[in-house]
Amino acid sequence: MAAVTDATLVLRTLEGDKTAFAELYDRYARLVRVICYDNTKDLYKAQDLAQEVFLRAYVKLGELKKPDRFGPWLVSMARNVGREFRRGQFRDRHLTVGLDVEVPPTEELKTPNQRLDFLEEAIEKLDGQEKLALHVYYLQGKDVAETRKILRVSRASLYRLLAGGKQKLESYIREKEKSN
Amino acid sequence: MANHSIENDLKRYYKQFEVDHELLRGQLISQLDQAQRPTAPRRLYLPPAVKRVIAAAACLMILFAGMYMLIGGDSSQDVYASTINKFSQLQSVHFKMNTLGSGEDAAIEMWWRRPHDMRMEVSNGTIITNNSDKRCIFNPLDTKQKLRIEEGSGGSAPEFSLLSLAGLDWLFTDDLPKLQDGIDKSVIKDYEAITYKGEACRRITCEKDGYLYVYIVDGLTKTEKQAPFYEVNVYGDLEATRLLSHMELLDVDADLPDDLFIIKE
Repeated sequence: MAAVTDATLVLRTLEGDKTAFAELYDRYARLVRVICYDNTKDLYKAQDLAQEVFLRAYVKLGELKKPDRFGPWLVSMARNVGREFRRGQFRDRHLTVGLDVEVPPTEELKTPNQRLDFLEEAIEKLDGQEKLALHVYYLQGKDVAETRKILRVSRASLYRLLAGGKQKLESYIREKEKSN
Repeated sequence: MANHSIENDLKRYYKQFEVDHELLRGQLISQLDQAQRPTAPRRLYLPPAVKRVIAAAACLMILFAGMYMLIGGDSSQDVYASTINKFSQLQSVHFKMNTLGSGEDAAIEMWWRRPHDMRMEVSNGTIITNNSDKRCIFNPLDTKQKLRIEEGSGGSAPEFSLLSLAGLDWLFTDDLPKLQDGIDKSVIKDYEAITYKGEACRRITCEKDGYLYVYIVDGLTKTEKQAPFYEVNVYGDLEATRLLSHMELLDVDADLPDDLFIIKE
C-alpha cells in the first residue's frame, strides 16, 4: 500500500484530524530537532525549540499554499526559529500540559564518545548547505528525491554536497584523532 | 584501531535526536488542543492534473469573459464597486504590504480586525499591536528596547497613517458614505481579463485623487468567492512610474484570536 503523502496529511489536519499532524511530526521531528540543535548546541533546548516549530507549523498550516511542499516549508520555519533563538528572542511560550516530566540534564542525553564529539565539531564547521544536505539525507531515510525536494537542488548538486560534506567530516576527525 | 566509517558515525550522531520522541509527540498532541486550529485557505489545493484542466478552462473563460464584456453584462464600474464594497464587508484581513509611502522601503505584515484591532510586524523586527484598550510596541531584535504599552488609540492609531501614506486607508473606513464617495470618484482607466497564478482574474486600473490603483480581482466577482481583491499596487502618479505600495491579501475573515492584538509582558 502506497504511503500517505504529506499533502494528504496536511489536508486532513486542516479538516481537524490531529493524528494526521502527528504523522507529519513523526516524519519530520528528528530533522527539525537537528536543525534546532545546530543553533542551540543543547539537546533539551533543541527539543523545546522543535516543539515550538511544530506548534507554529500547526497554527500556520492554513497559509501553506502547496501542501505537497510541507517538508521544505517546515525546514524553512525551523531555520527561522533557530535564527530567532540565536538572536536571543526565543522565549519558552509552551504550555506544559499536566505532564510531569523529569528531564535529565543535557549531558546525560548524550552518549560520551570522543569520536562523536569530533564529529559534532566537524559538522559545526560545515557549510550551511552541506550541513543541511547531510541532515535531510540521513534523517529522511536517505531518500534522494525527498532530499532534493527540500533542498531544491539537482541530483548532481546533492551528490556534490553529500560527498563534499562527508569528506570534510572524515578529514577533520582524522586530524583530531592524530593530534590526540 | 577500530575501523570506523563516517556512515556509522553519522548514524550514531543522528540517533540522539530520537531520544524521547514518543514523549515529545504526546506533549505536542496535548498542546495542539490549546493551539488555534488551522483552517484551510479559501483557495483549494488542487492536484496538478486538475490544475492543468482548470488552466485550459481558464483560457476559455478569459475568451468568454472578454466576449461577455464586449456584448454587455457587468460594467467595469460595477465590478470595481463590487470589489471595494466586498472589502468593506470584511470583518478581518491579513495582508502583506511593501510601502515606500514614508520615504523608506518598509515591508510589513498586518492583521486587522474591525473596527480598530491591528497587529503590524515590520521587516526591522518591530511589532506593534493596537486594540481598544492598549497599544503595544516592541522589537525583540533590539535588546535595549523594552515593551512599551500605551493607551489604545482606536481608529487614530499611527499605523493607520502608514496605510494613508500607502494610499490604502480609505479601504479600511467604517464610513460607508465616504467609501461610496471614493468609489464614485474613481475613474476606470483599464479593465482586462488576465490569468493570475493560474486562475482567471481581472485587472482593474483606476485613478482616484491623483493616485493610480491597479487591482487584481477574482474573475467571478459577482459570486460568493473569496477575497475581494488579491493584490493591489498603488502609484503616486498616473503614469505608474512611482510605486507607493503593493498589498497582497493573505486571508480574509479568519477567526483571529484576541491575543494577536496585544503583546504580553
